[in-house]
Amino acid sequence: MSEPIWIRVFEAADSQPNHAFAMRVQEKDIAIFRTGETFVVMDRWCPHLNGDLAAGCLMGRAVKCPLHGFMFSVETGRGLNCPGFNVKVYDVRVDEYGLSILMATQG
Amino acid sequence: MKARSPAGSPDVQAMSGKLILKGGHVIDAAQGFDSVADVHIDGGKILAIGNDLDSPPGTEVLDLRGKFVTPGFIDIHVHAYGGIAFADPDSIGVNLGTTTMCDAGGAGAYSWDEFKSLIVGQTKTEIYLWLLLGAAGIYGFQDAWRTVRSLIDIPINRLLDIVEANRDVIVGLKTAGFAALGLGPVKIAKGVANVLGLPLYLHIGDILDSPIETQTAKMLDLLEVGDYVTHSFTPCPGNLIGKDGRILPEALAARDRGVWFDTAFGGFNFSFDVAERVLNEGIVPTTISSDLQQINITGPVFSLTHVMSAMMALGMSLHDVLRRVTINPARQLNLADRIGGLSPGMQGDISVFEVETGKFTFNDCAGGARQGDHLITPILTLKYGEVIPYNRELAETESNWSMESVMCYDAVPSGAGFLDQRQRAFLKDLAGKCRKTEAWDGVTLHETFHDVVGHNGIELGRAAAAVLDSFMARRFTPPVGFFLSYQDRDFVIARLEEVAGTL
Repeated sequence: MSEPIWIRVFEAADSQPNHAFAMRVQEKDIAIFRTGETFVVMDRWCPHLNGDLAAGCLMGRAVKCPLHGFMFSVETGRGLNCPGFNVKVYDVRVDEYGLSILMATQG
Repeated sequence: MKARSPAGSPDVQAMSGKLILKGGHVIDAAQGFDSVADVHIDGGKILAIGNDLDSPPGTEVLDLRGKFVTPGFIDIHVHAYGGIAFADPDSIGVNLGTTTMCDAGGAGAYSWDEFKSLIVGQTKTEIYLWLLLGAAGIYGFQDAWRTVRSLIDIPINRLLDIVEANRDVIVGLKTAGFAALGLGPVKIAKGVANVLGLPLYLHIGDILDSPIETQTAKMLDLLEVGDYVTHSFTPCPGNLIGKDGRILPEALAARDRGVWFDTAFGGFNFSFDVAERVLNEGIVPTTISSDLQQINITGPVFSLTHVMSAMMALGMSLHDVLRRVTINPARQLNLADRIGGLSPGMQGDISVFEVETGKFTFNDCAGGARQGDHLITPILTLKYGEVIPYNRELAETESNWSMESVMCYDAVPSGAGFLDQRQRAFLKDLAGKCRKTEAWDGVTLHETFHDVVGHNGIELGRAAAAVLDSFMARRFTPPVGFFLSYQDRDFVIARLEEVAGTL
């Protein structure tokens, strides 16, 4: 039976509300968006021309790439206006220890 | 060349609306008309233009004092069909001031018949097609390579048959000039266009790759009088600017040969910096087009009139701009006997708008922006004399530009409840065939879908609607087989069977 691997990335209280930033976790580039107490974590690079989604903006249910406006669902990672282009959205949890990201499962 | 008859036009004879547009500032470049005047429309056509026209009994009068009244706008580059298009094509047409538009490559030889059944004659906006050489048409950006590479699958005989039977809708052949593929695809496209007797509509700008050596100069040399270059101001590699920062001499030579240049703002293909250099060095697009598609409707393009306003920010006058969305495209598309002007007898296609003055910011696709003093804002549109109000919300609502947002993964969309017994029987047949299909790719599923349509005998448009309505809360128009190939196989089969089983 596989076991989830949750990677704790920081104290949630340390991050700025309504702020996006990039991290490299387990050799994966990810973009983290915080709105209030909610976090969205997805692949950092747009699959079109590697636009930096961490430099994009969170618009409602979507993250918008700063290069060409491709939008990706924060729930599924599917391209909202670019059929066939998808990014990975990671499960997250926030507890008293901070923000953790489900990077993989083992077993 | 023989003038085209209306593409999918309504029964003009049945229209008897009598209408006088009173006191607007009428600008009709086709006649050199520029004055406050009345326009009389009867039976879907222009009856007269002049001062203080009488209003016969039963004639409706619209007071348009303070507004501009021009021939209906023609946008020769939009995406009205296919994977990057909208749920409602009219939302970017008559609802935004445009009465006629050309879909730029949404359909190719494989998807032509689906385009015809779902689009032609189904909209108030008159829609023509630049048929894509890539057989599937444009499904999505990640398929741009695939569609070019599908050149190996180009069914030339089928293309000939399609074009010969549909010259009233197909205005030219489109292909993308991606440098990484070399000159071959463009040479093939030009050859096929010559065989078909159609102009070539050439996309420039490498939107997916950064080639070491661009090929645009050599591609331009292949073009002849009447061919088009679209995306004239693209900042992407392979644009009209050479390594020395100057305009490509081949572009100037092409212009002098009679090659047309088009703007097609798009999602990646408009830079103010490039535009200023291209304009200053003598390439002035003969048409202004938007390239409206899913990624740019909420900015930076918004509408054709927004692009027209951006061109005014680049120094064009209102008259320069209007010519490029009325009589110029009408003549180039061989439609000037019916649209693009306001002479008596022409279609009652009219755009009514205001020009706001102030400070307006226009963004491009490359992080650039310019300030402009004018913003063209539609008020209403007339198509065959029918008055259609301006409505931006229809275009910008998410369910109109995001196919993903209307996908129903967890439950059958309510629209599937309207499918009739024949359509459900077809879905059952399709599900059965899908179960036996080992490969799960666009071409295979395209052929599977059409095979089942053929065996079942159902009309293609109703079959396509049955499939699409089984998955989406609003019907977009991706080519059906390619759409299915992007979904999980088990999900597709289960959904088709679920909808089919609710007879």
